[in-house]
Amino acid sequence: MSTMAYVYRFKELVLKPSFIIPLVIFVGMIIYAFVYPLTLTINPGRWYYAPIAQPPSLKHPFGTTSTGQDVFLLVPIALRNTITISFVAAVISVLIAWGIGSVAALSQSQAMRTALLTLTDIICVLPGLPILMVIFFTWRDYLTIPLIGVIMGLLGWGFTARAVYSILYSLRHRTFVLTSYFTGLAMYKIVLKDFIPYLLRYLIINIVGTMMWAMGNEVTASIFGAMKMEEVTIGTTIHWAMYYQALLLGIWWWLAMPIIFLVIFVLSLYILMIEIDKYIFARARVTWG
Amino acid sequence: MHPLIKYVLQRVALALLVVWVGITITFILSRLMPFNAAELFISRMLAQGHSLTGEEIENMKKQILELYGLDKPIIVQYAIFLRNYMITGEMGPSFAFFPSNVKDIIGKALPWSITLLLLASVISWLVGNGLGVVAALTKHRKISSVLENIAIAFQPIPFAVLALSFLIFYLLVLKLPIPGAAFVSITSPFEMFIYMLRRASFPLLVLVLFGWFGGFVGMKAIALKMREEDFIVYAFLQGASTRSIRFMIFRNSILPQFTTLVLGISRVFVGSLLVEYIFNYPGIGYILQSAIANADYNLMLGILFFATVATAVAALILDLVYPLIDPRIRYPGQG
Repeated sequence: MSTMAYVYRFKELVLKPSFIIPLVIFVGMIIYAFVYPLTLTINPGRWYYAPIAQPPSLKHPFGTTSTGQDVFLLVPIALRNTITISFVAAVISVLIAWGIGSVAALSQSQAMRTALLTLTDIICVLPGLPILMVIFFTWRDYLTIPLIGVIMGLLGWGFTARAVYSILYSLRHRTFVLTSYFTGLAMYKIVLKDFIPYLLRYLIINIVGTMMWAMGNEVTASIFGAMKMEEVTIGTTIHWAMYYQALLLGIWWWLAMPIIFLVIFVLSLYILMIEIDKYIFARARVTWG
Repeated sequence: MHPLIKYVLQRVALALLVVWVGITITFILSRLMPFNAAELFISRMLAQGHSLTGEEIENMKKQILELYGLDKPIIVQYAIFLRNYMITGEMGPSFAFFPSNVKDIIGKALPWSITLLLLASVISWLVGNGLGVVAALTKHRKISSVLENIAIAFQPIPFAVLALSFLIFYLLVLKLPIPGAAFVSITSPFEMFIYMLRRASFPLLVLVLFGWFGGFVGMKAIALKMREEDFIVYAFLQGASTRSIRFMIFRNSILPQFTTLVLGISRVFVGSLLVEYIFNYPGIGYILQSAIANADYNLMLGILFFATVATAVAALILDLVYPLIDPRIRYPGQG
């Protein structure tokens, strides 16, 4: 490594506005969703503890619903549950995807590769959402929030597995990996220095990507009513708002607030991911490459 | 064997495999349900005030039990289930639309859904990729970066959220009515198709409006790389016109992108289900909503199976188009 090379330092990343601003928003959201509900003395999912269908005011900053819930108290719970579902789904599906993708890419057996790739193709083409909706609806009495995530994770690994497969397959045949190999670098060093920086990037991208997929599924399934409807999530809040004709009655805040918070959360997470990815990519090239 | 025939056979086999996996999942779900389907069905019929004699109840129960074959060993049950779903199409009565059969209800909805699904995925893919090439090659950097920023900002947001935000914006800010189509009497299949397209236009608009981001981002990256390829530089040095170079880049970048079109179908399907429900488009999404609202498990299982068929068929159609755009499959002896 030349000493003249430009190094993207951690300090530089941390001082970047396009990193700092989404980070602050992201942390704020996490506090609002996971810490703030701990201070509440009532269960915001209950009905009729607040006046009905009040527009946003000082007392109820986000307004209240037709079912007498305070949207300001409802949104953090909804956000917390939706984030939990999507995170669990992402962890499970990324674990499966990485297992299947890496076995398919690194296995010497052609039959194994064909079998795993066919399985991946099937999972990609299978319409996951109707399957999830039937499962959620049929077992709605037995579901818990993390379990919803687990079930989604079991069905959502197709795209990630394909991506992991092609990354590893091409990585295996790259010149720099072969160079390391033929210069006699120990296997663990090849994995550590050549593979990990590459894979770390994709791991973050995969987790965030699957989280967004799971959030979309949660919202869509809930809008259809195929969910444990008494749990407060972003999707079920939207469902009840639509069920009580919030748009027609002009109670837009009931529908808009959960949507706005979900969008802000998703975007802050996404921009953070892009910035971290750029950082890892730059570091991988200069210091580890 | 001619590579084209081999390719077609492979694709058909994959589609059949997908359908088989779909049936098997449907079967497993139907057997794992935490209640007795026959009892539930009849108790709900009675609760709704259908007056049935004791004999009718017994007959109906027998028919439903026979349909599911719950008294036989599980392998036999599976075989009966396969036969019922694949060959006779006997999926039992629907509760939500009693006394219609599940088969008939879905049979009516399926063409609508496949039309919307195919149109939505192909059009948004074409729009995304077309814009992607233009953005990669245009001299107007500003337009290209605006498009890219829009795509990057919208891409991570779940489609359901985008569609609902659009609905709020359309109804409350623009204060426009949602265009529907009055029911007309239809005499020929052609008229039917035109009517279908008219009904599909608004849901399609929403699907395309929020469906082009992925294709755009992917295509722009590929086209920018393609621009540096030797054969493009060679054509440029030969004095090829900008238009033909642009076409060459589009033609060659489209191959890797086509895979995303086929594999993306199940994701487009999620969006189309939702849009069908929101805009009352009479496809699978619309009846799925009725099935859930009425706890109609028979209909749900039927929809689950047909959703698999719909995506498998749509993917197969696109797969069979692939040889037309990729000459490597059409000519023997090429990789």
